[in-house]
Amino acid sequence: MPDWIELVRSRLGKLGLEPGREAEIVAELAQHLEDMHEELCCEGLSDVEAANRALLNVSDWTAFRCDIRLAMEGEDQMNHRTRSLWIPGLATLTSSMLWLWGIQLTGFQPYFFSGESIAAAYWPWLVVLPAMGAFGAWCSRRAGGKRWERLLAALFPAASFTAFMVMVLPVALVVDRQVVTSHLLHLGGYFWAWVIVPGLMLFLGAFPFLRNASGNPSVSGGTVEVERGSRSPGRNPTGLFCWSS
Amino acid sequence: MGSLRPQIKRGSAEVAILAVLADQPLHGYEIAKAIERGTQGALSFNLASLYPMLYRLEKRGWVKGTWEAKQVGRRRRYYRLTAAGEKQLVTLGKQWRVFFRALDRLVGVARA
Repeated sequence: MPDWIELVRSRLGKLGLEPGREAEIVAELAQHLEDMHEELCCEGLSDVEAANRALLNVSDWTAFRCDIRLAMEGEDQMNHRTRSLWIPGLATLTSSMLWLWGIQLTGFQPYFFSGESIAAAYWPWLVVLPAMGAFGAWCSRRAGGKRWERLLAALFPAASFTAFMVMVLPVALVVDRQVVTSHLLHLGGYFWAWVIVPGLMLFLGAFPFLRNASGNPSVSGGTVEVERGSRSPGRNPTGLFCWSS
Repeated sequence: MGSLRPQIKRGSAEVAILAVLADQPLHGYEIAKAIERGTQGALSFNLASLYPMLYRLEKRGWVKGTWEAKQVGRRRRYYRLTAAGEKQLVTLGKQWRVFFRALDRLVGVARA
């Protein structure tokens, strides 16, 4: 029989609540898993199999911790989105822009895709982008961000350049059609230099943080392992609908 | 439409929990089981979705959790409906009936 209290406590981490309440929550969740474990054992599963199956109830303990904290604090979804997407995204954008600005101040000569100034690629900037993507995704994951939020937070600089071009292009076409049409030919270069290559570099850094914090933890003979290829949690194969976080 | 889906999801989960607690106080695992049984397995909760919802309902004052020992050596947190929760269940029940009747009419019209 696993020590459910310890398993839950180690995965859930600190909730940042009053210690007594925090201990109650851990005890309650542990009791739920123990009940499930007992029921699965009664159905004929081995002790280890039942424990593994019970633990699959939570696919992402970081997100679970955040959900509990939000519920306890009575915080609304908007604040959560701000913490898990907008703040990490803006942090990634700001840090990458400051770094780019610093490089430009040194007078570094960029490489030009398609020979155009709008398609300038600063390799010292690109080289550092994976770290910034990792930072954005990590911040988002820490705030309980879902996978798409972590990804978007990491790709924020590339997304911003795309948005910038989408917004500026129609306006520029109205203001000075001739100059813009001459630059239109080099739009591909712009996207390579400011969207695609930076996006790939940011994704590279974010990739390790797109996985769930603790994988699918499992129990084996009292020790904890990571089980692969198990039934996906939160699914209700026979039912119509399963509420999952 | 983007925000409607989470609202429906959350709203239906709230009704389900309040409804099973209307009969008797239950602990978390029993709540999950009662919903699964009551809907013949069509609807279910997992640990990660049930407890944040329970704590949210408790925060709103619709349910109240208390530690009780009904079996030897086992203390569990039992949840019961508060007066506010009972009122809320009536209100939500009416809203959901209206919602499903409207959908049912639409489906009926579409099939006719």
